Amino acid sequence: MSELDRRLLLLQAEARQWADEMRPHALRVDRDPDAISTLTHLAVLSRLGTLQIPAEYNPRPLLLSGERFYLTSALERVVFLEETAYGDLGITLASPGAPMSGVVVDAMGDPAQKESFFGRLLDRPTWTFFALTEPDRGSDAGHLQCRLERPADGGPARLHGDKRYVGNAARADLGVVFARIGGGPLGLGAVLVEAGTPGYSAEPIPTLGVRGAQLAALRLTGVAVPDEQVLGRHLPATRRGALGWLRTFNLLRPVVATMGVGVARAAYEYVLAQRPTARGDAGDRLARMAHDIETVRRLTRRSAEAVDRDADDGHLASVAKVSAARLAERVTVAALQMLGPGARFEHPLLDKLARDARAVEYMEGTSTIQRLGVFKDLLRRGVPPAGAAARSSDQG
Amino acid sequence: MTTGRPTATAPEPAQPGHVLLKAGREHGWQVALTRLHALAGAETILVGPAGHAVLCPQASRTAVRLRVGTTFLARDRAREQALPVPVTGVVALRVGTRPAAADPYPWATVLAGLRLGLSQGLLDRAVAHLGRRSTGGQPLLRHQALQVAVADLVIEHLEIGCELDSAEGLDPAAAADLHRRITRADRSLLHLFGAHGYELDGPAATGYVSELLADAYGDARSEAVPA
Repeated sequence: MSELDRRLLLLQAEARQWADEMRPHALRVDRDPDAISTLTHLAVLSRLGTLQIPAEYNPRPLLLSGERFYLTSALERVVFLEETAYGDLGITLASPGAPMSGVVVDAMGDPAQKESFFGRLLDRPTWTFFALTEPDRGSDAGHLQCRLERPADGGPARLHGDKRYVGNAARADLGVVFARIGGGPLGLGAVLVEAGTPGYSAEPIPTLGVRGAQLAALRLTGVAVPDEQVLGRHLPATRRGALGWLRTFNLLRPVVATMGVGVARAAYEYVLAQRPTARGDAGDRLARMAHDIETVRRLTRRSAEAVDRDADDGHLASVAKVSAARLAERVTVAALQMLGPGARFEHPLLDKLARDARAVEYMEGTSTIQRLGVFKDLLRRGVPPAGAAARSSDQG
Repeated sequence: MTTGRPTATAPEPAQPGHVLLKAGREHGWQVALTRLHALAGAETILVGPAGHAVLCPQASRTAVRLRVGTTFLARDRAREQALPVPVTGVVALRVGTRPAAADPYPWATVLAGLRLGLSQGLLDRAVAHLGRRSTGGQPLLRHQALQVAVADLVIEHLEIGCELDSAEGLDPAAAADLHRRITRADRSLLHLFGAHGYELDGPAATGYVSELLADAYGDARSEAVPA
């Protein structure tokens, strides 16, 4: 096992309880994403939205046996969200709160912006969105077309552009939009956008899986963005743009990886429950699956530890993300094959897991992008020594 | 319920793997599905080894017979159960009966050809997509990493096509293996589309229907069918 200390074991146990109450609703939310509004009694929907908020803005952390959890470190998120993804990835991604946009606001917001943004999350269940990807350009930050323009006749700056694959955008109150806010390489920035502002429209995109998250196409046609909604105004230009989201993605990649681990584990345990006495070839395949899941879990946790040590160290996070995307697809496909012809029809939960698993590939940069990142890191730092992913405590 | 010998509704194909390949590639899964069931017989639903059928809504409305292994049965809607499918325009049925003996007609091979055709059609779309999209100011198709990925898929398709060139159908184990191989190729192919590959109005539906077909009809090994 990837050992957790007492503190993280407490957190994991709590998350397992949350996961248990999610699973019975997984297929319903898959068929009808709006069913989320009837499930606000689930802990993941009522409480997760008030976590993942920095300690100085959150008077209500999770208290477990005297320990406080804010779910702001990568490792806490990784441990917690493996369990909720195991419970159901669609519902996990449909939860209120600011798992992504909150990281940007924390990295780039001024104290007043943070107070206001996090305050709203604590007031009542509030969905937020994180809009980076653009149609036909993906997440190519250097070539964003979405732009913030200041009208010649005065008045607030206006946001123009299209974004795509933005989770929860159709149910969100506010979110973060990445845009070109000035000229040159330092002209990239991020702004807070209120969903109700004229010129904002969000249209859900039907997707194969994680349908609860209701990915949407965002159209921004002259959305007014007052100066107090521009993030990073108080920071030097070098810290406003690329650096802010580099750190955001470094933190989020282990989180996406752990979701892949959770989905793979759900598929594995599903087959195990169906074939409890599997022997021979089937037994060997199950044992191999368990081993592979554990390996990627270890890699994911270590990538989280690396990001927690140094927010700029996202190398292992890229590796874990690629490995987890592969794992989730491989294990869910193999699980269906192990249950024989007709498995997709007779085991709809497993069919759903196989559909959800594919989402891991697309969140926070595809495997191609991650692999290019791994290569760049190789050029910068040289070939990692064998066991580079090991914890320092493991190295005797 | 009536039973009877299957009538020869389709000519014995010289190369079963080629029967629906072109339809899959050029016309997509709706047309290929319609032709698949037409091959089983007029107004007939082809039933897979575990008792499932995947078909278009139109065929589901009009079909009156089931082809269950070597037997034709009158369709009994009361015994049928429609199963939820996330893709619009496709119907999945649990028909309430399953073949007692394997159909000597090489369905799994015909299906592999159909699925290869769908996969080739997806690759055509992927290449067009990569030509339209850009990163770093360049079309994605100019990036060597993606050129290699596309070439790998072309090679894989050609190898799979050669397996399907046999005059008879593949034996059930080889066909089941080939279906797994096509699924793997499709998964790599869908990655080329980026997140667009996850959209149901885009390539995701093709990939998913192809996997549903493999699940319903692709593995006729008697030992594989759950009790």
